[in-house]
Amino acid sequence: MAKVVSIHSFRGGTGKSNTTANLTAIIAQTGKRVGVIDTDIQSPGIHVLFNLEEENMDKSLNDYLWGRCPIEEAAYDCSPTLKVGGGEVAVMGGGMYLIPSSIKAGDIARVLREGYDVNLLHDGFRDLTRRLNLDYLLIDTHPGLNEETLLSITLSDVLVIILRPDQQDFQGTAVTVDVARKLDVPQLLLVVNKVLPRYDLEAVGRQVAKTFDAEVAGVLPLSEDVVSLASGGIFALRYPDHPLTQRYRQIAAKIMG
Amino acid sequence: MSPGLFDRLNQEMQARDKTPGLTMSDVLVLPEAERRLLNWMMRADEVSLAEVADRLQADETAARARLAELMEKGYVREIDIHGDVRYRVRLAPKRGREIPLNIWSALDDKVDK
Ligand SMILES: Nc1ncnc2c1ncn2[C@@H]1O[C@H](COP(=O)(O)OP(=O)(O)OP(=O)(O)O)[C@@H](O)[C@H]1O
Ligand SMILES: [Mg+2]
Repeated sequence: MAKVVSIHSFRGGTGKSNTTANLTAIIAQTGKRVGVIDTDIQSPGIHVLFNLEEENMDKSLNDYLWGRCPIEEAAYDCSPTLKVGGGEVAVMGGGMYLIPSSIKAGDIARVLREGYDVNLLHDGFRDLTRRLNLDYLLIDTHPGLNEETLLSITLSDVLVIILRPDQQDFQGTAVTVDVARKLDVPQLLLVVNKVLPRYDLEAVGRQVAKTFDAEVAGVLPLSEDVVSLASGGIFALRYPDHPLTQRYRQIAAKIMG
Repeated sequence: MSPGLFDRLNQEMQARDKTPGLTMSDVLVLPEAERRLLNWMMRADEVSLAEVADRLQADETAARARLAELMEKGYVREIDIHGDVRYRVRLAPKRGREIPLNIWSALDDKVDK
């Protein structure tokens, strides 16, 4: 059975997609098979981090939801970008597979206009895991609480909630933590992102843990290096020895248990 | 639009209106016992009568009654896998926005006039 991990935040722009992509790569580098699915149907974006160009995106989650293909046909093998000590990670049995949401305006409009069968999304998570023989399925979500996010949370073994040190994020996170508890998520982890580097990161972590009575899996500083990478790739692969990559690894270790 | 297509759309919209199923936002406001049972069923993907009885710490007759209630509400459906009966949560379709659901009948009224 694969471990299902949803990455969520109440508000937008907290760093969900960046964190998801980094965790995917780091877990895959340990020799695991990791799927990552973009359920942010109305504003997809994580494919950018995996350098999947729009013109190379033949099938997407949308095609699956419209019954045009089985879900695994919308999976892109991104394993070739993974390297461990110069060797291909595939040799170790690991791999990463991305299921993007369509970036075509017409497709986005259609799914918003017509809706879709949510049972298919439920089946899709299961089928993808089985057919690609995944150890982990990471789910990047749309901010706020909508049907697909609530479903993802319900089906998750681990929910990672990302927040910035910001009063609006704090309030939103309280709502999400409440919802996660109502949905009986077995493991809840908080990640504080974009913390000013002059702050004591560990102290921020302790404060947040206390506020929400939940485990903080990591505190990540606001990083100029992330800003200048500008979603042009996966940070942990680009800068394997960076202190921020170390922090991503700590979060991955908590998820992997 | 041809009359055939129009009828088909109309039927589809009416069927949609009646489609039962659980929405995730419903789950949040259900009574705790029901909510926890449905959460568990969703995570387990599909379950047998014996597993439900076990989960409820009840006998199979009581579990069957509980499932019948959930099926009546449209939240759960029975599936038959080669004679093996299993139960699965039935999620409501995500409805589209913008277009009011009764648009086709409203249009129909106009066209009839
Ligand atoms: N630790 C960080 N330091 C600096 N910039 C960051 C950090 N983490 C993320 N960012 C930047 O913040 C922006 C938003 O990140 P990302 O797209 O991952 O957020 P998101 O939560 O997925 O957003 P959305 O809600 O729009 O999907 C990006 O430009 C990213 O490069
Ligand atoms: Mg995102």
